[in-house]
Amino acid sequence: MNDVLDLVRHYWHVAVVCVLGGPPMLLGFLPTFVLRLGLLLYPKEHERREEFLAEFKHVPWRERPKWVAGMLPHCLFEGPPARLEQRRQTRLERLIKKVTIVSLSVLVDSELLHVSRAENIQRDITSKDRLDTPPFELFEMRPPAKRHIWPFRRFWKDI
Amino acid sequence: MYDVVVEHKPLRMTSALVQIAAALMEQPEAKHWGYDLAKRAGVNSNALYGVLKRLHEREWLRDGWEPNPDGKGPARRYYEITPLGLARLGALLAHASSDRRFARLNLKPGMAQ
Repeated sequence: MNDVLDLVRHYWHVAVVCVLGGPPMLLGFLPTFVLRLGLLLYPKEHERREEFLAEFKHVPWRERPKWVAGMLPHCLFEGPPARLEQRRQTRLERLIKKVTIVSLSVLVDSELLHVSRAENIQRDITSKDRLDTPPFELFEMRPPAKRHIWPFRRFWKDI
Repeated sequence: MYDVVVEHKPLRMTSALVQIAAALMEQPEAKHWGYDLAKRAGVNSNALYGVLKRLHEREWLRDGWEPNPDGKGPARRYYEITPLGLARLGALLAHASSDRRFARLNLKPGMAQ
């Protein structure tokens, strides 16, 4: 018993810090911190991030820990699938971009499209990369050459 | 160009769904806010947002964002019942009021109209 009393006597300042700092920590910092951690599971532009943060401001102080504890499973089960869906969407967009570029280059190779540098672009405004390549090229439709109307016709003749 | 028809699975009748439907139908033309709605329905916030998402996907609810009156902090999201939702939620409550599982919820018969 004396040991316990000695402990309290020597470490009273720790007890004071715990008593005074506990409630603000439990009601103020921790719920906000945990909620923001949970919201990190959602993709950056997901509407739930803003929605939950805005709703959190309207929850009374006393109920915040319970409210945040209730929202965590929701974040855990809704956030990662939303991230995966977004990643899938981004990959699909990249694939479409690649297919477009490849098909354009095929059209250019088959001389159906003519590539020329865009002359009317203000060069000082548009950015260039470190190899000094112009930012984009202008593709314009060109009537096919007379010797082959369809690009594969030449190929067909060769066969 | 094309109308995309999304087929949804039928909603599973849970007490959370019925409680939220009843809370929504108490004020069918008002804006509903997440925390207040959870309080009025008497459900956990976790259950609330799951149900709201399903109702929103089925276009029974529409949402909107209202900026904070004092200009600080993020805008708050609200939910409103659509005409389709009014009919469907009414039917859902009418069905629930005759279901013994939801007898303890004391659903008012007028709520379904």
